Amino acid sequence: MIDFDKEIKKFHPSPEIEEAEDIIYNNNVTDMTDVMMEMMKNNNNSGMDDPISIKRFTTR
Amino acid sequence: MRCYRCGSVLSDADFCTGCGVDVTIYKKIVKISNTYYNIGLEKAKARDLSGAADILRRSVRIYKQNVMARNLLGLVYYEMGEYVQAFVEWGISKNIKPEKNIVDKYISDIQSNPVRLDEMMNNAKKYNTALMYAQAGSDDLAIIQLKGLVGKTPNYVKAAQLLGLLYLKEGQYDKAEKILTKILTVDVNNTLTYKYLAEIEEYYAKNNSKKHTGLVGAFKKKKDGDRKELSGNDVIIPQTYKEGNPISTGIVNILVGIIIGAILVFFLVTPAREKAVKNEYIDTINEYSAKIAANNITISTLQTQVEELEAEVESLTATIDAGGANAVTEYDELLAAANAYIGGSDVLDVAELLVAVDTTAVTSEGFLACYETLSNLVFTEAAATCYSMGIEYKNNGDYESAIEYLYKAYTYNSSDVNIIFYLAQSYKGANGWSNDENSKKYYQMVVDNFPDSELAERAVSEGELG
Repeated sequence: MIDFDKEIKKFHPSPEIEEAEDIIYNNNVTDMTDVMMEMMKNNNNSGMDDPISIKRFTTR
Repeated sequence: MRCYRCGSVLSDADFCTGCGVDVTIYKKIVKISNTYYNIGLEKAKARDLSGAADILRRSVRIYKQNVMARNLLGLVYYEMGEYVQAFVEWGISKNIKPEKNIVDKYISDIQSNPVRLDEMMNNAKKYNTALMYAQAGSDDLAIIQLKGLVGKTPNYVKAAQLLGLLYLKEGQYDKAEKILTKILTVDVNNTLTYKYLAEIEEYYAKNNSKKHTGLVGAFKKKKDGDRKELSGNDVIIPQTYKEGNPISTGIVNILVGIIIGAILVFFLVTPAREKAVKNEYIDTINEYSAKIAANNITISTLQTQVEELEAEVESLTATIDAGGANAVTEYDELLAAANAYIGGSDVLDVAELLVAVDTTAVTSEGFLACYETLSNLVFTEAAATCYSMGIEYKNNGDYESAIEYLYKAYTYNSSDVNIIFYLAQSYKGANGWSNDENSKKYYQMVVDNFPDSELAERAVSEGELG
């Protein structure tokens, strides 16, 4: 049997048109490429300043 | 695929030929994102919109610059009635790839109908308001809001699901089943919809009030048979989406049209028609009233004329009756006089009878001719006789008798000056030889009618007319 009150609470408001512009221009969601770039940056900071070295590192 | 650092087109090699950067991981990330896109596309083709949306969200979460996945995600949102979210995805896509992006066509198609665009943009607000009502416990208000929303946007999956849930909460299982079944044709594999339908199935099974067996399975079969698969090039944006039985929809539309027509006739045409009929009726009444008034005047006039004519008829009848009676009397008197004359009666008696005849009451020429003849025969002789007797009485000093006979003589013959003169003298003698009114009248008559006669001068002196 469904708990209706709980079920209703699971519904979330839809974004309204006034919010759309902010969402579009502030779309700073981090994706896997960002994670990858972050990892590379960290690797660079630890002495591997050339991306090619990453290749070498990963291929080894 | 382009290098994330320098933008050069990547080759099959694991590094960028432009800047030399290692792109192995990058390529794997893009590949995974594209794999999700392909899965999402397959689901979208099968109209598993909620499943497609879930997969496509993962695709863009892995690689946010996957424009194809984002565009398809926007299309899926659009088909599910989530217009603002669709615009958001397409807006991001446009920012990523400003040129040669298919979303330009999507957006321009939608913007070509500003009214529809405005409605679509307000859908989210209406849904949020309804959700607020529902979460506050005002289910009735929420249902009213959602009914209007789903009526205008039948493919708004989330709104239909919330409406179905509220119907379930209110115990209106038939309505819940109807709305959920309908929305299942838009999103054929929505787990939340199936969850609510299972609840309905369970209710029917418990209450045995309706035969519902294999409800969920039936919907699964239905999705394979009814819905057309989407191809990769399909554009869902324009209102090409149709649902339901076209025959039943057509019948419903006809019925709605008839009802609207009837309402328009009732509220617009009928009052105008009634007013026109009423005005026509009033005009007719006025026309007939005028005619009746004119007829009344005519009747009154004719009645007056009838009364006048009746009075005239009565008058004429009375005149005729009286005239007839008089005429008869005059005829009798003339006949009596003639009879007396023929019978040899005294001329004075005949004259007496003739004097009594009123010739004005009879217009018959024969009667008048007879009277004239008889009077010529009688009156001259009677006048002479009376004159002689009157002169004799005067000479004897009997003036009263003289007046009697001389007056008769005057009556029978008024053209004899002697009769008139001696009548005047008799009146004077009867008054002791002093003139009175009668004597003067007849002396004056002698002077006036016979001025050249010898007796005229004597009349002046005796009558003291000077």
